[in-house]
Amino acid sequence: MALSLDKGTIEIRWHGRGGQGTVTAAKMFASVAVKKGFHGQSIPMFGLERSGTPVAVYSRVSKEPIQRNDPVRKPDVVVITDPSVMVFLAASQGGKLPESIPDPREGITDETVFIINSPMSPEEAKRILGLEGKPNKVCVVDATKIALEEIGRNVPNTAILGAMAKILPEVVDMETVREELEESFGASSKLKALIPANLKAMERGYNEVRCA
Amino acid sequence: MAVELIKERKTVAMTGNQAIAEAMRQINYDVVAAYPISPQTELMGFFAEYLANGLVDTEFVTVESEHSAMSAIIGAAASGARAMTATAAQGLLYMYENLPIASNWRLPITMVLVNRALSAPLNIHCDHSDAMTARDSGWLQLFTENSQEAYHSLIMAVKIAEKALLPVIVNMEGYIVSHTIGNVNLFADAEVRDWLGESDWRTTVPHPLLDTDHPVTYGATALPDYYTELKYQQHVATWSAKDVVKEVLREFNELAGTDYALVEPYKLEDADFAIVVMGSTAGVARTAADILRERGVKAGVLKVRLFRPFPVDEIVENLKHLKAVAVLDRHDSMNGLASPLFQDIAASLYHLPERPMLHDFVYGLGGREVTVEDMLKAFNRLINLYTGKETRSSFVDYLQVRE
Repeated sequence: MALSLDKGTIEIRWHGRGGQGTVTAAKMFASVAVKKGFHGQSIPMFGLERSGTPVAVYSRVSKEPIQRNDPVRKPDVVVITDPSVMVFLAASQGGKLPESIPDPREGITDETVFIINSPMSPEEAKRILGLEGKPNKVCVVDATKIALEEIGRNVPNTAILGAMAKILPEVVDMETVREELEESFGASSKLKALIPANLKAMERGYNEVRCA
Repeated sequence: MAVELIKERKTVAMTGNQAIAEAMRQINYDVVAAYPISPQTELMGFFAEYLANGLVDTEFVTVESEHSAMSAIIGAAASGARAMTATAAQGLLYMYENLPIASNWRLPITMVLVNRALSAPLNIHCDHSDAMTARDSGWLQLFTENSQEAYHSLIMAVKIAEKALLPVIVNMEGYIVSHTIGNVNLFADAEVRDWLGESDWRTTVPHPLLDTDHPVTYGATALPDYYTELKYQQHVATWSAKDVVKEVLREFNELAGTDYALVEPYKLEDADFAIVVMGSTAGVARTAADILRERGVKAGVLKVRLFRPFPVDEIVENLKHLKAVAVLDRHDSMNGLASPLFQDIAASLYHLPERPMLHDFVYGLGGREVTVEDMLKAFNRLINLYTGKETRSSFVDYLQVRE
């Protein structure tokens, strides 16, 4: 079942690490939303921004102008681009994450949908999140593996966007992402050459995402 | 000749810094001088890219300090150039001694201030403490809520500055607006250039330095015999600048289909309680007012766009009938009284025989996240003070302090 904007603003919280393109993914998402004629917003929270530090990024998409610009506290969608979050959760005592890592389960409701970059199965992810028996939809895609195979670098953005296209087809689709990539990569021939690989990664993200 | 890049209006997703750089490209300034400081650095980086790609005719002066940036811009503007700079926090303080010179010389300079907390302690995030240091500098000041408004405001600021012959600061909150991506409806390049008119050094200022047929002195001494008269002229110009801003907003609204005003009321007509706020918190405050209205509390919000000159009449008109008003200051004046916006609101309402109760809330310092819950807390405290359920020992509360 896909999410729809008919019910109002959709709020997204991204969990990643500095330098792994989470901010870029959130920006692409907002850009794609605007291209589709919606109001899109992405708020990168800059702590002491260092490569490798955990970051939380917030996005909103709506049919109406967006009034709020505060951090998303009750996310409709949680996107975990950093695979180590699940590893930490699995290894942690009583499911508590180290203080330096924002907890992806904070403020979630039964309706919150998870999109996770991880090699594990969606059932396992749901169990690690402590959501067994809950109505939450937990979707997993191995975006890092897809990125390494298709693009040759650990930039899981487009594979994640592919998974999002499955959950939020109203906002994200292949054609608009292609347009976005052509605009943002188009100025440099080196980047331009990466567009087909990124689109392939997105297509695989769409096809390979599994939900529980 | 500047290149025409955008031929018709379009809506794109942009950060505040990107949107300002886009406005700078479309304005096609004669002179820009700047020194990097977070969160302004990225803005000038985007503009430098436009310059390097040959899209603008601007003379970009990469100075060695903010003091020199302001000096260069003052010289350029006195020569008749359309000139701008951008800075933040301590960068503004470093250029400070030149600010009152720009305003008394009546130079139509525009400056984007990417609001950042002042050191110490060192902090790169947003509050309004940098802008507040400039409140008595003779510069006009606009505050903006999002990247769309920042983009629009820089374009209108050029016209305000050139009509009022006074420098204008456009405040854009660091990170919260400068780095947040949102919808921005861009003008076609030609629309901006037509609306502002071609920059002409012979007419931008009445007595350009470059007009060697009519040589003039800038920076002359005025001792006790003339200082007062020269200050009075500036006083009159600053007071009448409000009408200039109104006129430019009217023209701008006609062009853009917007409805910008000096202050922007939200559900105030029948309200009992209101928050007064500047910048990006306005939307969060409106969300809180909506929540309170669902609970039967008549709440509203007044957003102040024009901070200098202070729009006294418009403030009075919108607040006079309220029971109590919470003024939100993203700055602490450390003065034993209250912060600047509160003081200005209080002074504006003082002459009324019946006036709302006021309380000041210091909030959002050094980038502290501002939530809808914070706004509800301010409303609650205000209502409890008004009904006598709570008491106060001063006019000021720290809204978000951890004790």
